[in-house]
Amino acid sequence: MAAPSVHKRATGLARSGVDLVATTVSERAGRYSWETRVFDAFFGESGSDEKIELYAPFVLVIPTHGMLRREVEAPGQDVEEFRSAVGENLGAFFPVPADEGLLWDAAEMRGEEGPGRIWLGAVRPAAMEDTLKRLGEAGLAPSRIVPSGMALALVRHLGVREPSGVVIERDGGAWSEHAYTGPRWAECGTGRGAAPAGEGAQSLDWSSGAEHEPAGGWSAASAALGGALMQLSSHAPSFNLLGRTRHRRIELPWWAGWAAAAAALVIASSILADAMFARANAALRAVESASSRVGPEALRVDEMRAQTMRIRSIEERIEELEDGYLPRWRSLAALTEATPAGAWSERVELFDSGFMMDLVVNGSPAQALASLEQSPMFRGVRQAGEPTRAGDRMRVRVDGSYEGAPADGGGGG
Amino acid sequence: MESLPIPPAVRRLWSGRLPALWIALAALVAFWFVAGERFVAVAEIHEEIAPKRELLERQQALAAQEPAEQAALDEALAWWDTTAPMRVRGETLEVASARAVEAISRALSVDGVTVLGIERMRSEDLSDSPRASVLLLTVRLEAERMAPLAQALASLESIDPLWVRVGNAAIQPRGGRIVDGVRASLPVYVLVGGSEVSG
Repeated sequence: MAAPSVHKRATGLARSGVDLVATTVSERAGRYSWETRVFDAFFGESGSDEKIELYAPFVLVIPTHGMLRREVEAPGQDVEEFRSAVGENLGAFFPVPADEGLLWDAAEMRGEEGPGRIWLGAVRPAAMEDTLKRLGEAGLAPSRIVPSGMALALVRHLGVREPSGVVIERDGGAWSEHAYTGPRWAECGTGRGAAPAGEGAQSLDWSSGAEHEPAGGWSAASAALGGALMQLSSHAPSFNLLGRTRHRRIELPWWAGWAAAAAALVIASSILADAMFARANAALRAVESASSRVGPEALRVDEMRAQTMRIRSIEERIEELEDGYLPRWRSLAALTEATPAGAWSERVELFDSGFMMDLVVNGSPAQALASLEQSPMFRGVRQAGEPTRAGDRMRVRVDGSYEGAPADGGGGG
Repeated sequence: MESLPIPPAVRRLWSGRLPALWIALAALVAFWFVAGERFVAVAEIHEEIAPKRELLERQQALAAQEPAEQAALDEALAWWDTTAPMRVRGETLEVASARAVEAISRALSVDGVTVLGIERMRSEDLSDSPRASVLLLTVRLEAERMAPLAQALASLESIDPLWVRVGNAAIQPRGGRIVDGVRASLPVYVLVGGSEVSG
């Protein structure tokens, strides 16, 4: 089965005799879940040629004691620097012909005393040729080959959870003894013949498959599980006998998609913000430009309107002063004309709406009032107050209103 | 299938719920630094644009009324021009006042009428531009009889073509006896203004 784009699964492969043990591990919601399958006689003569569908990437775990090994004190040197140094002078570490080539890699070993030792592991390509070829035919070409000692570190930590411990591998006449500190591989020893007793140590028997896992011990399935865990855990060493670049996949964590989406969102927001900013600026400039163009016109029209208003206010005020205005000379002339003979006015007040006069009459004031009332210019002529005697005459106050101004009365003269 | 929780020592830093939190936080910070300030600036520009756009709309509406306003102004100016002969001209209000007094004195030069005084009381400014005011003067007259007084009044109100109006006039006997003559106090309104017409 093709690997999904986000690698949350890996499959560890281990050879147990002619059987293939494959353990697929999934990481989800803070848990590792795994499933182990055993392909009987996979490496035998009668092995099936059919493709096997498992989750990539595939990590092949090989017994540590089947490898060429060196432990090197390299204080002050990190693994990358050491790799560079070894790559130029591999023959100094392993006694093999220079033209043979080796599959090799290095990893840091961390004991209680901390880093400082580097473990160098290698295998002859010829020794792996058949295995890799058979796996490739089945569609299980590994992208990584790791030693069991390294893979078991995670298995031990996952299952035992003790701060330190020992695991002894047994494979026929050979054995390996690994010491661990937490999830880290701290020491490694190998040998032939009888394995150390290893009291309290975990044991792994390569000759027993997953279906025959010994009571209280491990089998090749545990090694396969460790290989898959090495692929999934970021804490595991990056050791790979197939080389650090060969078949290496760019393995993205599951959250990379979300991070990429967030980054895309931020970039899109930035683009959107820039676009909106540019658009808003353009709109602002357009408004300002239009305003600077229309502004003077509007100002001119505004001034025009103000000018009109000022003239209108003059006109209105003059009309207000004109309203009902009767030339005073006309009023006075009409009063003089309407005053009967033998009567005269002592005091006259002329208003916009009418008049008031103190009239001195010889006879009855009523006659004078009637005479004034007959004038077409006045109306509502009445006696204001009681008449008083002035010698042999009567003095009476009279007031009245104008009937209406003549048509030519308000034209300015 | 077997399953075990991932031990903390081998758990990825970014496993569990933390990645979502970190990603969201990082995205938020990045958003603020990359785009947030821009969005704030955009909001500020929009706030700035709103009143300017409103002003522009008002200006455009005003400018669109130019023909109508021009017509109204032309009409007003035409009226103003017709009133030109009605105004006592003068570069300043004082000059115009003096000319108004002079014109009124001339108008009141009637036999039997004596001008006792022409006093400028106040002026009512109608407009600065064009400059126009209504000047209020108090004219005090003495006449031998009512007839010349009426004649003087007629002369005053007929100073052609000036706009002169008489307010509430009070006429009373001189010395308490009508036969001694009459005395009148007349508030007189005169339209004064500049000779210029600005349009």
